[in-house]
Amino acid sequence: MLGKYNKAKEETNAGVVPAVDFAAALGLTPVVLREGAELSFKTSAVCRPGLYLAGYEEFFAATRVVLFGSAEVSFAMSLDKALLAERIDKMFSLGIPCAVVARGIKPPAEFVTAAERYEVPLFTSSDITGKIGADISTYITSVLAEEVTLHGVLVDVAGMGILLVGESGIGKSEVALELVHRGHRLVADDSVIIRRSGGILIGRSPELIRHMLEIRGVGIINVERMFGSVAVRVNKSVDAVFELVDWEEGKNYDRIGSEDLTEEILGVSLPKLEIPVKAGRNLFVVIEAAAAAIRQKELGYSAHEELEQRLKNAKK
Amino acid sequence: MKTKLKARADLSLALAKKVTETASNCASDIRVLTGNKGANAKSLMGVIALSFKKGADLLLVAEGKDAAHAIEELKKLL
Repeated sequence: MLGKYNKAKEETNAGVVPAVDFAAALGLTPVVLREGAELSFKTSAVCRPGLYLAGYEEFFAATRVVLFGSAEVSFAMSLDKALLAERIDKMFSLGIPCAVVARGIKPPAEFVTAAERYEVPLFTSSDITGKIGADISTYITSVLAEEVTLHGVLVDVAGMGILLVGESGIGKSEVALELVHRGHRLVADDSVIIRRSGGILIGRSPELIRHMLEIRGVGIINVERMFGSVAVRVNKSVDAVFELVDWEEGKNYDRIGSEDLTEEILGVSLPKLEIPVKAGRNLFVVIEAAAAAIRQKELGYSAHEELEQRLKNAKK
Repeated sequence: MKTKLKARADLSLALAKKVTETASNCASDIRVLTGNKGANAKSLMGVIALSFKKGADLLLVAEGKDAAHAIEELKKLL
């Protein structure tokens, strides 16, 4: 398991964002917003509260962002003032994260009163309801995405995102430098933030140390400055894990290419290879070949199977 | 083994270097955590990425034979 490579799980204040960040990301205008307010999201679903306004309260999920479009607002305005105030008051008292009024419609006074009473942030959006609804969902999905930080190096080797792991000092950064020199790209050195989006893992570097590489005996180098912007990328899918291990005499490493090791990160299973490190072995060439072999396997070819076939067909 | 402490100084490159050197001299696995970030104490870039300021809450976690010694040594620096 990668546990030994320092899986520092980002602590779970996941789902909580400053309300001003939410507004800025989605281009919302605050109508009611207490300074320093935070939004706590549990689901990316958005609620159009037509039924609730009409008095049907069953199945109302108070964990969702409430979005008013022109239909909801015009229905609300058609209600008796006292009744509207009562229903809106109750809706805002249930602990909804925030409410948004779309299409640049000015929120009715009853909305503002209830939002102020229960300190529920209230925003307006100039977008049409369908678009802002989808944008809110997308935004919350990214906020809720799971992340872990792993100790390793992420490189893009001919389009394959290869996560190099191994003990401190085994030479991960040096291999990354060789690979960059061969025309591949560095994504992150030492500390890789991995986020799961659907069934895909995307890795990136903490911004502070992005594209910096520590090479023992040389010091810290800025790969982008030294090799140009084609030598780096900001993020990359993680497609395989290569573990660099000390070469142990007498240990049997995979010599045929038939051992299907896997590594699980955030519930996604990735192909894994154990690559023994020995002085005099050109590791970057081995890694290029290993990445190509995994790509071939994905495309349905394996050299060991072909060799097996040739053995069978060989004349007696 | 775990210890909580408050950073005595802002993280500088020099401090990050001392931390990784000290940690690398220990056999234990050592992690430094602050806020929602964590790093292997033996990894220079990882420690730099923590970028904590003076007074920040730090958590040291060490596992291994010399865990107690490792934490003592790191406490002197942080």
